[in-house]
Amino acid sequence: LEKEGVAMRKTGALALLLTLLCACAAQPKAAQAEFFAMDAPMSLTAYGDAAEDVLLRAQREVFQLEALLSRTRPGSEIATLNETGAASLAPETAETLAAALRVARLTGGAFDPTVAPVMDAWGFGGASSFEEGTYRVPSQGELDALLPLVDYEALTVTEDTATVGEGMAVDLGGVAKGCAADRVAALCREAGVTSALFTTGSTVAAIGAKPDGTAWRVGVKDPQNTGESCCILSLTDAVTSTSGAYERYFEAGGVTYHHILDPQTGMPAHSGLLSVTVVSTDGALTDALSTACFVLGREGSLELWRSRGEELSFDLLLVGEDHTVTLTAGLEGKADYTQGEGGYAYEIVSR
Amino acid sequence: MKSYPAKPTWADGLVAAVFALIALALFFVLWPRQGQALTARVTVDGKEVARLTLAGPSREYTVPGLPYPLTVETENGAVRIKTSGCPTQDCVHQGWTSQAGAQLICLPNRLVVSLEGSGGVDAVLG
Repeated sequence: LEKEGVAMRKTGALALLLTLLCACAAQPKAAQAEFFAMDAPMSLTAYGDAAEDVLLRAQREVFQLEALLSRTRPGSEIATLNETGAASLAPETAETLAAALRVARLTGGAFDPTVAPVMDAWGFGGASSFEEGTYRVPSQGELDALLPLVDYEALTVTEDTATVGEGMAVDLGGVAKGCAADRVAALCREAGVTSALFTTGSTVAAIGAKPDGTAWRVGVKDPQNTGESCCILSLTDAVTSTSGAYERYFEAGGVTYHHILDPQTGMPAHSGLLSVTVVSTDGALTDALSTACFVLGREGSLELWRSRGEELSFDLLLVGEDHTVTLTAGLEGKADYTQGEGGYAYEIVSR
Repeated sequence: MKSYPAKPTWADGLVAAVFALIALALFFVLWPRQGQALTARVTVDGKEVARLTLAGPSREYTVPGLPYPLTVETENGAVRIKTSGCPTQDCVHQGWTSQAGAQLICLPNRLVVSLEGSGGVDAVLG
């Protein structure tokens, strides 16, 4: 019996070991793809049996979306719209245009998908600028001539067509990556992938939680020290986008000019903010709203959040030139920061 | 006749010690490699072209075959794009970074420097 007892304990220990080994082996399969699309590097990491399949489908979907939405690709629906003033649209293009128009109306034009002619005048017009030359400061006369072409109200979108006024041009660069994030997240969910992370520069989509059940941790760059984060967000099933003056800029005549233009003036927006981060479940809204709120400034952004934030389910993280980081109430408990770190004072605002 | 539970014997201790050693070995074998020092992974068009250790004194790496010549510098746990022949210089403006999960990007070259290592985040915005 004593021998039996020892044998039983050995069997128990062996079973425990096997359990531990099985637990290790039960880590879901991971697959990762990195690729360039929409003038940005993109990365998708997915976990689970369907991960490999989802990677391929997601890349195909993003490339298809790019082929429809790029304004520099001859023959794309947006290129056709800009060249001829009218275009027939695939459902994806119509949805993206509608999303852009929705944010334009929501923000009174602080985000405007028709700002392209002014962006081009500054050399911020997209990948083509990399080949054609460098950034430049347009004259006031040049801007005055171009600003009448910036008018989202002259863009009409139906379920399958769009028209714009003569000389106008649409650029969906401020919303397309958010739409791509939405599509990738939807693909993952359809395929049963419950843990994935999609990143494309200034937009990150957290699909589900990490395989260990904890939230994805996403750093928000400190705009004054971009090698560090000023806040870390813990996100599950959410999309987040940042717009910051530090992303693209140049100096001329001792003045620094950044790439986020105020559609009303045609000049780089100076609203007192250094960066804006938006969190919501809608990637298109998140992407476009980060640009709009940068233009609106802290008070305008908080006013928008107070009036529409609950209905549209978004939250904001605003980094100001005054060294104040303002977080809206929905981020409380999801934002990891240290008061005073980086010289910032952090505040949480409620409705 | 003896009744259960029997007293543990030296043989039981030996079995427990063996399993403890196996568990310890498994911990080191299976623990994610992220626990290592910071590494900069350089990719062009999504394909890895170099993996640079950040520790130690200043070292420079010139990425071959790019449309615009570009040099990456590593020093004391940080990395930057030191020089680039690209028209906009956005990549050089990004400066130094030492945060695992962060990326440096040169769009005209379709080049990304990704920092991998412990204590970082899953992604950095912007």
